[in-house]
Amino acid sequence: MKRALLGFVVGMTVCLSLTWFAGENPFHVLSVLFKSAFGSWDDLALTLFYTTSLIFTGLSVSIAFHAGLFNIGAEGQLNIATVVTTGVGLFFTFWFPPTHVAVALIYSVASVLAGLLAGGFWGFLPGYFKVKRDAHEVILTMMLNFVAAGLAASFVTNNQNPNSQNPESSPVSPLMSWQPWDPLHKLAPDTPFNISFLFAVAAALILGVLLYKSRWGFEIRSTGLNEEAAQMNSIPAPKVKILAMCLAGLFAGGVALNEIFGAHMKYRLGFSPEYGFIGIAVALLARNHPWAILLSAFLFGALQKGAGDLDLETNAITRDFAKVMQAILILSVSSFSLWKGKKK
Amino acid sequence: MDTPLLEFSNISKAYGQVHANQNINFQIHKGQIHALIGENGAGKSTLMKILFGLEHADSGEIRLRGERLDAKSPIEAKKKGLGMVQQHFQLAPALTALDHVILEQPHSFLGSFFEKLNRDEWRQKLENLSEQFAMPLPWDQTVDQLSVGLQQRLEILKLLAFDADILILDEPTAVLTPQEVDAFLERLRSLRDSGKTIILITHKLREVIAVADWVTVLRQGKVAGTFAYEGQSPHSLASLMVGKAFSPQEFERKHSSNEILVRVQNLSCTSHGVRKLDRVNFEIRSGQILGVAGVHGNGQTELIKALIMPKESGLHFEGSIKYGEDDLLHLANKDIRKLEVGLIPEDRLQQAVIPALSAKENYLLGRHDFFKGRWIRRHRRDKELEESMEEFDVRPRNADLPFASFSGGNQQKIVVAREVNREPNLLVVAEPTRGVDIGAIEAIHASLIATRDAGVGVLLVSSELEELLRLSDRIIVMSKGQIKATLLREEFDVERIGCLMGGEA
Amino acid sequence: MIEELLLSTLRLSTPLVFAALGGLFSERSGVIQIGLEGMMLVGALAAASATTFTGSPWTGVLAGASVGMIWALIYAFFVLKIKADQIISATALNLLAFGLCPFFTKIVFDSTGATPSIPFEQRLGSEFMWMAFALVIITSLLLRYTRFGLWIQFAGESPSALQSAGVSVGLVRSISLACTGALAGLGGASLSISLASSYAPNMTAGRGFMALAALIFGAWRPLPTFAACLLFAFVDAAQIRLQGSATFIPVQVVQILPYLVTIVALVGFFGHQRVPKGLGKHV
Repeated sequence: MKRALLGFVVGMTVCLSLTWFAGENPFHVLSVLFKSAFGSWDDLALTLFYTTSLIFTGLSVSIAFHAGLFNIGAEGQLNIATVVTTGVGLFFTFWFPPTHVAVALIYSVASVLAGLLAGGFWGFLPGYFKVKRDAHEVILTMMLNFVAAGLAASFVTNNQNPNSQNPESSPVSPLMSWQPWDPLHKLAPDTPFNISFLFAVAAALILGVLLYKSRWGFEIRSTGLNEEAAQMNSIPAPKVKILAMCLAGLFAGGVALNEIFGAHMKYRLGFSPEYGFIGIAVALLARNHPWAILLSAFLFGALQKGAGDLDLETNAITRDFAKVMQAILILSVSSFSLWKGKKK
Repeated sequence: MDTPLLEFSNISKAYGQVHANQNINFQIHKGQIHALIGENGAGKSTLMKILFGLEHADSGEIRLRGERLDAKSPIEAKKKGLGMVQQHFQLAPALTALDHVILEQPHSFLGSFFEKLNRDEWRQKLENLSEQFAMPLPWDQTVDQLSVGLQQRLEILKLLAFDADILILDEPTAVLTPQEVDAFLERLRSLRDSGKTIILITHKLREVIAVADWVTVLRQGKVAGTFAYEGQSPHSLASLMVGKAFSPQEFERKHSSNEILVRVQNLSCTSHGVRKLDRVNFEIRSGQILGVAGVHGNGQTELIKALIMPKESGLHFEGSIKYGEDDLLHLANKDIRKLEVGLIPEDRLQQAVIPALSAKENYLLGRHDFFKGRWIRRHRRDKELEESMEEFDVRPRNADLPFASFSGGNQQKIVVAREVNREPNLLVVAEPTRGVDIGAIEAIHASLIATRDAGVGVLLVSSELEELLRLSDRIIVMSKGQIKATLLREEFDVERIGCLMGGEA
Repeated sequence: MIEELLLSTLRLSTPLVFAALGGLFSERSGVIQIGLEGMMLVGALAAASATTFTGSPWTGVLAGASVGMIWALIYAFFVLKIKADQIISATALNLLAFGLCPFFTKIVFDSTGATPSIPFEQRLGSEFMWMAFALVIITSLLLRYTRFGLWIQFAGESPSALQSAGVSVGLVRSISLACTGALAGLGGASLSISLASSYAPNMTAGRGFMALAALIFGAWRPLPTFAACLLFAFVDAAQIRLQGSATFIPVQVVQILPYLVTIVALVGFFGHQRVPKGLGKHV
C-alpha cells in the first residue's frame, strides 16, 4: 500500500509538471483541483457522485483481476446496463404508466435488475469465450465496448428526447425517481449525489468479506493465482472464471443505479467520462482490495471532478487531461508496486 | 598429468544462511570423464554454475590450463571452450534443430539485419559433424517433433559445432530410458576418446561405475573425496555421498486388507494423434501401494489425469475406472475429490499449491471437509494444520507465511500432511520426493507407509526406481502407454524393470 | 460497384496492415502488444501536424513513424526495463495517447481536438498502400531468412536460449518494439494524411485492437495476417457502402459490423493456434 501511495505521489508530480510545461502554474492547477473537488458542500457531493460510479467499475475490474482476467470492458458493460435500465424504465413509463409511488418503486427496481443482468451478460460473453474458445479477453471486451456504444447510440436515436437538443433518451416517469425519499440526496439537493453511494459502499464492504473469508472468494483467488492447481484441487476454474466475469459485468452495471434512478432519469449519450477505464486505475491503486477501492475511487472521483473545472479555469488544460493523469498514475503506481520484488 | 586442465581452489558460495559450496578444492584432467556426484542439494549444480559463469563465487578461484578463469557470463565461458547442457533444455519447440545451431554462431548486432542465413552450408557442415560423432539428427525438424533423447543430442551437438572441449552435463540421463542410457554412456566414452573432457553431474552410481575415470564426491557443500575411479564398490561411494553407512530403513510389510478399490479397465487415451494410454488394465487394492515404473512421458501423466481430472484435462479417455459404484471417467474433479480421493501431484508449485497464498489457505485446497456451505471452517483447519506442522516438523512453524517462503522439503511435508490427513480411501501420488532433502524423504516415505497401513489404496508414480522398490507392494511397468508387466514384491528385479521400461517384453 | 468495393477494401486495409505488422514484430519477439491503438493515434496526430507545418506529406510520414517509435520505446522502458505488467502498461499508454492528443492540439492549434484540414495535393494516395504491401513481403523475408529474424523468433519462443547464445533479449525486443512503433505510427499516418484529411479525435476507432485480432487470426504469420486484415477491411468497406444505400438498417447498427466480425473471427476460428511460447515472459 505504501508503495502504491508513493507511486501516486510521483505520478501526481509528473502530471503537475506537465501542466507547467503547458504554461500553467502547477500550484494553481493543484489548488483548482482541490477546490473543485472539495471546495464546497456541493462540490464534495459531486465528487462523491463520481466516486459512486468509480467504486462500481473499480470493483468490476478488480473481481476480474482476482480471477486472473483483465476486464477492460467495464465501459461497455456499464453502457449496456444503463441502456437496458432506461429501456425497461421507458417501457413501463409508456405501456404501464405508474400511478402510485409504490408501483413506480417496483418498476424502478425491476428496471435496475434488468440492467444489472444485462451488464452481467455483457461480462459473461467475453468470460465464456475466453474459457471455451481461448479467445483474447482484452480484444473481446474492447470490441464489445464498441458494440455497446453503437447499440447505445442507436437506442438514443430511436428514443430521442423531443424536448432536448442533446443526444439523450426521453426521461422515464418522474414517479420512478428515488430522489423524493433518498436521504443522501437531501444532503445535497442541487447535485446528482444519491443513495447509490451507500449501495456502492455496501457492495465493496460485502465483496471484501466474501473475497477473503468465503469459499467462493478463495476459489476466485486460487483460480487467478494458479489455475492448474485450482483445477486439480476441487475448484472448477472455468466456471469460476465465467462467474467472475459475470460479476464484473454486474458490478459495472451498478453505474446504472447511480445514473438513472438516483440522478438523471434518462440515458445521456456519452454520460460516462469512461468510468470503465478509470476503474482500471482505481483497482490498481487499491491493489484490487475492495475496501481500499473505496478510498482510491474517492481519489479518482476527486480528480475527475477537478479536471472538469480545469477546463474552465485554465487556458491550456482540457477535460481530457483527466485521462493523462489517470494514465500516468496507472504507470507510476504499477511501476512502484514492483519495487518490493526487485529489492528482495 | 602435469598441469591440470581445470583446478578449483577454495571456492565458496553462500545463499543467505545456506552454504552451497564451502572451500571446494579439486582438479579435473584433460581427456577424462570426471563424475561429480552427490545427493540433491550437495552443491554440484552451484559449483558448475560458477564454473560456467552463471553464478559468481564469494571467494576462491578457478584455473583453466593454469590461467585464472573468471567467467562473468556463459558467453565468456563458451569462448574459453566450455559448454554446458542444463538439466532443463533451452530449446524453442517451434523452431528447427538447424536454426538452434545457427543461433549459437557469434555475430555482430548491426549486420544481423542484412545477413542472409546460409542454411544449406550449415546443414552440410552439421551432417558431417553428426557423422563424425555418430550422432545423426533430423536437422530440419522442429524441436517439438524430436524425442527427448534427440533434443539432448541437439544440445550436445550445439556445443560440438563450436568446438567446445570441456562438456558439462547436468544429470543428462534423467530423461532417458535405461537402454538409451547405455547408448548414451557409450557415446560419452567415444567423445572422451576423441579428446574431449567431460564433467558428468549425476547422483546415479550406475553411471559412475560405467564410465567415470575420476570421481569427486560432494556432500553438504564440501568435497567428501576426489579420486581416480578404479572399481570402488557402489556401497562405498554411496556412503561417501550420504555421509553414513548407506542402509535405508526397511519398512515392515503388513498384509492387512486386499480388496479391490479401483478397477481400471481398457483405459485408452489419444492426444494429437499419439496413443498416450493403450488399453491399460490394473487394480488398486486398499491397504497396498501400487507403484508405477516408467521413464517420464510414457503415459503416467495421462494416467493420473484420468484418475483425478478426466473432464478438466482436455483429454479424451476411453474405457472405465470403477471406484465403488462410480466410474471416475464420468466425474468432475470436484466430485472425484469428494469421494475421498487424495492427490500429491508431481509438480508441487504448479499443481499442488498456490505459492502466493499462505500455508493456511493452501491447506484448504481440495479439502471439502474444511468448508461448510459457502464458508470456511477456520478453527478446524487451523487446529489440524498446527498438529500436522508439529507432526512433520515443518519449519518455520508459522502457518501464516506465504507458501513460497518455505523450503522445498517443508512445502512437500505440508502437501503430504494435507492429503494424508483428509483420511482418503484412495491416494494418488506422483514424484513425492522430487527436490526434497533427505530428512523430508524419510518423513514422507514413513507417512505413505502409515497411510497404506491404515487401509488406504495408494497409487505411486515415481521415476526413482529405488523409491518404488522401497515402498511398493506391487509394481506395474509402463512404456509407450502400455503396461508391460505387473510384478509382485517377490519378483522385483532392477534389471528386469529396466528392460521393461525400455519397452522390451 | 464490385470493383469500387474491392478498391476501397484495399485502401481501408492499409492502416490495419501497418498496425498488424507492427503487432507481429512485438508479439513474435515475445512482448504482448495491446498498445497499437495508442501508437496509431499519436502517429496519426504527428503525421497530420507535420504535414500541416511543412506542407509535405513525406515529413508527415517520417513524423508519424518516429513518434510511434518513441511511443513504443516508452512502452519498452516500462515492460522491459521496469518489468511492469505488459497489459496494464499498454492500457495506460493507450489512455495516455487519448488524453495527450487533445492536450497537444489545444496547445498547438488551439482546437478542441482536430488538426486543420490538409489540402488534397498535400495528402498521399496509394503510396501508403504499396508501402504496406511491400512491408508484408519484407517482414516475411526478414523473419525467415535473416539472422535478426531468427533472433526475433528465439526471443519469442525461448528467450533463455537466445540469452545463452550471447544475444541480449532486451535489445532484440527493444528493436522489435521500435519497429512495432514505427509501423503502427505509419498506420496512424495513413489514416490522417491519406484516408482522411486531418487528424480527428479517436480516429483510430479500435483499429489497433482489430489489427491485433487480425494478427491472432493470422496465427502470427505475415501473409495470413495480411489476409485477415483484408477481411476486416472488406467488412469495413461494405459497412460504409451499406450506410449510404440501405436506409432500413440504423446507421449505428451497421457501424458495429466490423467489431462484430472481429469478435466472430476471434471466437469462431481461433482454436489450436501456435502462440509464441515466450509471449509475456521475461528471461
